[in-house]
Amino acid sequence: MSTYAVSINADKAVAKDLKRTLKSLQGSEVTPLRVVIVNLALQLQDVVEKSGLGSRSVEVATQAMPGDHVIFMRCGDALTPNTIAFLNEFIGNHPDHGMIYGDSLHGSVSRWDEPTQVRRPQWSPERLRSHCYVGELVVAPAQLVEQAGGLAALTAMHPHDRALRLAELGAAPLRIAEILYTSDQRHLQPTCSVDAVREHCTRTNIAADLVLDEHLPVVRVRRTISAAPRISVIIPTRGTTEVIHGERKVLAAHAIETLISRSTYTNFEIIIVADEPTPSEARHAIVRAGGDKVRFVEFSKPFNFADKINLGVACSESELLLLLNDDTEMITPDALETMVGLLADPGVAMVGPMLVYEDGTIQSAGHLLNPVPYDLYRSRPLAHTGAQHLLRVQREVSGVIAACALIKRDAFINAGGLCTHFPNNYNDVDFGLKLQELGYRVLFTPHAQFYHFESLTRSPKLQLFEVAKIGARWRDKLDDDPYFNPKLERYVSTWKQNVIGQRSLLDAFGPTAPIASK
Amino acid sequence: MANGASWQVDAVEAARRELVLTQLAQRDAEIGAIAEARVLKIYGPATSMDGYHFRDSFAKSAQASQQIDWVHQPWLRPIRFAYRHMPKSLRYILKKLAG
Repeated sequence: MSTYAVSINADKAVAKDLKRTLKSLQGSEVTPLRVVIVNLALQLQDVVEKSGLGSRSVEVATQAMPGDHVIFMRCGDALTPNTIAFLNEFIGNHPDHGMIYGDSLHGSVSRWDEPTQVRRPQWSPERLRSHCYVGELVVAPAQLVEQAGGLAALTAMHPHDRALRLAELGAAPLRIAEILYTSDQRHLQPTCSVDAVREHCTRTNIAADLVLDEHLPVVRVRRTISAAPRISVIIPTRGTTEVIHGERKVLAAHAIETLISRSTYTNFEIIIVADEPTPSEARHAIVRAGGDKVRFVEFSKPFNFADKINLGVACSESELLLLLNDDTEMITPDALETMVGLLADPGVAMVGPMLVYEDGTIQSAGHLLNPVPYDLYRSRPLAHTGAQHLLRVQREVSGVIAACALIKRDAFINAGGLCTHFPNNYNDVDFGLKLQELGYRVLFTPHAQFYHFESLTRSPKLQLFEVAKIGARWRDKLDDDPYFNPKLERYVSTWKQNVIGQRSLLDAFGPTAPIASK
Repeated sequence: MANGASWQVDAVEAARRELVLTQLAQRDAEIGAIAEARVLKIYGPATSMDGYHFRDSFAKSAQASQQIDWVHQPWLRPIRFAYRHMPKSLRYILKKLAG
């Protein structure tokens, strides 16, 4: 059984906050607790003396580490009575753990109000660079605390800085999907510190420009790319012509034309995987749009999206592959630079952008798997920031839609490409899960945007054999998406539990329809 | 391959492509077999996606908000209006009773 020290920064704290925090420690009877208070003002010493913690010692700063784990928490927050029991059980099951974080309750607890539950996803390193999504309570082994700068220094830091430093060392952080603390702060959105992220990038050798969002506490880490590796853009098509922005166009030609004219990244070739019946007029339009960059690969088998993509990849040689549907259009000119920059991380295999419908609403902001795969925030306005500012941060996801995804070639080959058992649907979901199985990470970035005129090419319909196959392969993953939370349900906001009367459609993970795209 | 000409595929190139596709399929089958064995171990042989009821899934154009949008029915408006203007304590009690 572990022993814990609770470390609190009392800088600018008021007596009420300190009393609340110390009172909550009285309820924790599982193991002896010691409390370390940093920056305690003279007028608050009386509060500590009258706290009633009894034999448990309360120290005002310390040199020695008073336990084998440290719980860092904000002055004013309160541990729940079960927190120590949860921690003991979890640490027993994960002896080689690093930093630990969990869920929290926010808002005033009154007779007529229920607090909001903030349910957090599993470890998401890219997201932590954008904001402190892990919350203000983190637990770390004493040894890790020493390595990261020491107890007093870490306690006095901004929570974002503390979390980044602890996460850099030791094993990957872990989440406990239980309420570990309550906070009287009504404001439950994550905070951020640009300085903390800048220092983190320096320590971890990430070359990036940092941009603080104008309206939200979110940092954009815009990686600077030293080289511009060649990209093979794989576009499967059958030469469909449809009306886009009021004009009838060959979809593939439009996608190519906008890619070439708008993209500030120019080192790419375009491989058109064309069904044999593709009309010659469409082929001419594609050639006119792409010029020397385009080459055709003929596909003569019955329609199979996965097969077409695999064939395109087999005909390419570039180290990066951009899977691009013919019914897309680039919006942000630096989309490719943004995605290439994220792939500089050796653990990242695939990056997906924000996809937008023609009417400006969201088509996909990454996949969520519970309980069936679907596109996140489909049909929400693009201006929507999402629960916990989810739509404004680069973050790990379980998968991205194959309508537009940049992938490392070696990861694509290592994962066996897209599975041809999924000719229409779920081949991207399956591919994302295969990458996860191999230890790669998949990222979504809202800073690269494409239009996706979905369903213009054909009518997507789920096939029973595809449903059966995805379940037979990945049901365990579908049941527990690491970037969701097992305490949440579908149709209910990800970070607000299903409490009657507190459902918020605006905050809810919307939609809704299972993924049936391409 | 300039100017969008179709790739003239000779026998060697065709064989190379076929080899890559075969290797991809083999690798996919390997990973799939591991995943399927794990699912089988956890859920047993007769599961697949039992319980998910895909036949009840929404049409692609439909949204969850439409499915649960009964609160905006016209006949409910006066009741909803009255409820929303009740004292908070009374609303809370009603909410709990309804739940």
